[in-house]
Amino acid sequence: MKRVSADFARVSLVAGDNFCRIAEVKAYGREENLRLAVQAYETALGFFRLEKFPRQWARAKVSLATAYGMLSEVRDKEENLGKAVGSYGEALKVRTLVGFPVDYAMTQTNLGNAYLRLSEVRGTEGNLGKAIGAYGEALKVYTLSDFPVEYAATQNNLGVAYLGLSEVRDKEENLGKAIVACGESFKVYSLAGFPVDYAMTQTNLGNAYARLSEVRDKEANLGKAIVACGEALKVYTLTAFPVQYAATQTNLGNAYVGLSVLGDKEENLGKAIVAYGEALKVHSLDAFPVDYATTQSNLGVAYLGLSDVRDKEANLAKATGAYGEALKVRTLDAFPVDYAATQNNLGNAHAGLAEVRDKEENLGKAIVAYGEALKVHTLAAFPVDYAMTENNLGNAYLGLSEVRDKEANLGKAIGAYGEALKVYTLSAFPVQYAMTQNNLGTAYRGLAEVREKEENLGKAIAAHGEALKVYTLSAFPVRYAMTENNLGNAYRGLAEVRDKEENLGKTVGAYGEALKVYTLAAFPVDYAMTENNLGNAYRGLAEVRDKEENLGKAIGAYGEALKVYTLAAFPVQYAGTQTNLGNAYRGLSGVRDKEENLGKAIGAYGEALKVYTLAAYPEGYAGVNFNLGIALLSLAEAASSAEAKADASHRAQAALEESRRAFEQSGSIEWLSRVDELLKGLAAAGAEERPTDSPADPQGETGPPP
Amino acid sequence: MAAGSYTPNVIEQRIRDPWLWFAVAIYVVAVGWSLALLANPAQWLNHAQTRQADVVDTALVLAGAALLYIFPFVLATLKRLRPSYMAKWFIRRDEYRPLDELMRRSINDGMMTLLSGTLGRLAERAQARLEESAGAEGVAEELAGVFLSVGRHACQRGSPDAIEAVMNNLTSLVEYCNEPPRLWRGAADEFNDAAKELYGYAGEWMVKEEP
Repeated sequence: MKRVSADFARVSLVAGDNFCRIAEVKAYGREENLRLAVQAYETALGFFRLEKFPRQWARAKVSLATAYGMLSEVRDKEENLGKAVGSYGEALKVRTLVGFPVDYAMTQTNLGNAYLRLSEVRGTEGNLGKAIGAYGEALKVYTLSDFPVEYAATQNNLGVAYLGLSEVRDKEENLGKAIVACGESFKVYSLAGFPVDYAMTQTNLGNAYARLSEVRDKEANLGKAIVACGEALKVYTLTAFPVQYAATQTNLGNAYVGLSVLGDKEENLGKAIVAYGEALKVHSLDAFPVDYATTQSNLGVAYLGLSDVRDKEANLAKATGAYGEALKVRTLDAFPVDYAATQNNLGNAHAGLAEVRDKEENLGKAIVAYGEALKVHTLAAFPVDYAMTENNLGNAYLGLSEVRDKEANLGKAIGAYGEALKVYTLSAFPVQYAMTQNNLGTAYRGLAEVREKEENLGKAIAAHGEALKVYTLSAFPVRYAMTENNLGNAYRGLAEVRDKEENLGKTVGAYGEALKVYTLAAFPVDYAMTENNLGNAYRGLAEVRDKEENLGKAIGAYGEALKVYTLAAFPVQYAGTQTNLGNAYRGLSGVRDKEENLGKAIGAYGEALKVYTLAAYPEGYAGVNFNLGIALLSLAEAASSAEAKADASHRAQAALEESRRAFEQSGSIEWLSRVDELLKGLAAAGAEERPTDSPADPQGETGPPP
Repeated sequence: MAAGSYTPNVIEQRIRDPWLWFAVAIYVVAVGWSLALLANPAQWLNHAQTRQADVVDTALVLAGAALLYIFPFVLATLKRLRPSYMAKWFIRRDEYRPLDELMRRSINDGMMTLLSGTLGRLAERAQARLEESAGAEGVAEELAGVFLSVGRHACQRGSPDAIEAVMNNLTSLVEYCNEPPRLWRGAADEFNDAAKELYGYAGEWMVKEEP
C-alpha cells in the first residue's frame, strides 16, 4: 500500500494549483490538466485528513471544487458541478463564519457561482435560490466598508442570479432585485476605478432592464437598457474587448428593436441595424459562426420591420440576404431549431417582398422556405411553431392564388390553415385561432369565386363567425372591424346565389358593425372602403326592396367614401366609387326625379373618366362609357325638347362608340355585342334602357391577415 | 556560498572568465612595474646608475596606486565569485550545464532564495529566447529540460520547496506562451509536459510503499 507523505501532499497541492493555472490559459489539453489537478488534490486529501489537518483539508477541498468547476466547462457539466458544490459544502465544515470569516465568505461566493452554473443544466429555480443564499452568506462578511471590492463582485453575482431567477418565477420582483444588486455594485465599481467590472455590471443591468421592459414600462426600461449598454461600450471598445463589444452591440440592437414597436420605428430600427452592423465587425463567419448567424438573423428581423415603414423592397431584399447569411451556419443538420426559425422568417421576408415585386417568384420562394421550416416544425415535436408556419404557408398560397392556379392554391391554403387549426384551438390559442379562422374565411371566399360558390361562401361565413368569437368589439376592435367587413363581403357574395334580401340585410349589418370602429377620423381609408362596400350592398338591396330608400342610402354611403377617396389622393378608388355613385343615381332615376338623377349619374361617370383613361384603364374606360351611354340614352328618352333629345342621343352615341372601341381593344366579345345592339337601336332612333352591370365596381378589400 | 558550490563545471567556467584574467593581468602588471622601478634592477646588472628623483617618485606613485587598487579589485573579485552573480553570468551566456550544477548544489545546501532567484532569471531568459525565436519548440524543449533536470534533483532530494519553485516557473512559462498574441502552442506543450513529468517524478520519489 502506498503512503502519501506530508511533502508529497504539499507538492500535490502545488501541482494541482499549477495544473489549474495552466488549464485556465491553455485550451488544448485542458481536460487532461484538470484531471491531473483533480488527481493531485485528491492525493493531497489522502494525507490532509479533516481530523488532523482541518485547515489544509478545507483548502484542498476548495481547490478540488475549483478544479471540478473548471472541468465542468469541458465535460460532464452537471456531474462535475455537483462534485464542486459538494466539495465547497464540505470545506464549509471547517471554514465557518465565526472561525474563518474571510475564508467562509470566499467559499460561499464560490459555492454561489457553482450553483449559478448548475442552474443552467438542472433545477434552475432551486439552484438559483441556493446561489442567492450563498451570496447572501458571503455578504455577511463582505461588507461595503470592510471589503468593498468583494462586496461589489458578490453583488454583481447576486444580480446575475436574480436575473436568471426572473426567467422562472416572479419576473418583475426578481428583476427589481437584480437591478438593486447591480446598483450596489456601482457603489464600488466606478468607470474610472474598475472599468472592466463597471462594464460587466452595466451589461447585466442592461439585460435586467431589457427583460423588465417585457413586463412593465416598456419604453422607460428599454431606454434604461440602452443607456446601460452605452455605458458598457465606454469600456468595451472594438479594439480592447472585441467579444464583449460585439455582445453589447447585439444587446443594444435588440433593445432598439424592442423600442421600435412603441414608436419611431424607422429611427429605432435604423439604430438597431447600425448596432448589429457593429457586432458583425467581430462576429465574422469564420471566427464566430454561431454568433454571426444570430446577429444576421437579428439583422434580418430589423430589416423586415424597417420594410414596414420605409424602402419596402430594398429592406426586404436586405432581410432575405441577412437570413440567407444566417442559414450558412444554421443548417438543418447542425442547428435544426434555428434553421427552422430562420427559414420561417425568410419565408416571411419573401412573402413581404412578393407584395412589391415578382409576386409569383417570391411567393414560390416563401413556400419553399416554409416547407423547409416544416421539416423541423412538425406537429408532434413543435406544435406551436408548426401551427405558425402552416398559417404562414396558408397566407403564401392565398397570395399565390391571386396570380396563378387559383383553385389549386386556395385548396392548399385551406389545407394549411386546417393544419394550423389542429394546434390553434379556441381554448388554447384564442387569438391565433381567430386569426387563422379569418384567413380561412378569406380563402373560402376566394375559392367561392371559382367553384361551389354557395358552399364555399357558407364555409367562409362560418370561419369568419368563428373568428368573431374571439375578435370582439371590446377586446379587438380593429380586428373585429376587419372580420366584420370580410363577413359582409361573404354575405354579399352569398346574396348573389340565394336569399338575396336576407343575405344583403346581413351584409349591411356586418358593414355597419365594421363602421363602429372604422370611423372617418380614426381609420379614414378603411372607413371609405367599408362605406363603398355598404353602398354596393344597399344598391343590391334596392333591387329587391325599398328601391328609393336603399338607393338613397347607397348614394349617402358613396358620398361618405368620397370624403376620403379624393381624386388627388386615391384616384383609382375615386373612379370606382364615382362609377358606383353614377349607377346608384341611374337606378334612382327610374324611381324619381329622372332628369335630375340622370344628370347626377352622368356627372359621376364624367368624374370616373378623369381617371379611367383608355390608355391606363381600358376596361374601366369601356365600362364607364357604356354606363354613360345608357344614362344618356335614358336622358334622351326623358328629354322634353327635341333639341335636348338630339344632344343626349348624340352624346350617347359618342360614349357608346368609345365604349365599343375600348371593348374591342380589350377583347370583351360579350360586352361588344351588347354595345353593338345599343348602337343599332340608336341608329334606329330609338334608345332603350337596359339593365347594366358595372365592370368597374371595386369590391371591399380583404383586411390583411394579422 | 559554501565551498561545495564550486563544482568542476563551475570552476571551469570561472577559469574561462576573460574579465577575471584581465583584471588579474592589470593588477600583476601594476605591482610588477612598481616593484621593478623600486628595486632598480639595472644596478644588479652592473650598470650603475644614479637614482633620479623623478624615477623614485614615479615608482612610489605606481606602488601606491597598486596598493589602492587592491581593495576594489578584491571586492570586485569577491563579488564575481558570488553564486548569484555566477548564475546570472551562466544564464546570460546560456551555459546550462554549470547552471544546472549550481542549482543542484543550491538544493543540496537548502539555499532556496538562491534557487528561486536563479529559476526566475532563467524563466526571464527563456522568455527572451522564445521571443527571439518566435516560440521555437527546440528552444522550449532545451529550457524545459533544464527546469526538469533541476526538478528531478529536487524530487530525489525530497525538497518540496524546490519542486514548487520549478513547477511555478514552468507554469509561468506556459502562461507566457499562451498569452495573446503569442499562442505558441508547441512551446507551451513542452513546458506543460515538463510540469506533468515533474509531478509524476515527484510521485515516484516521494510516495513510500507501506508494508
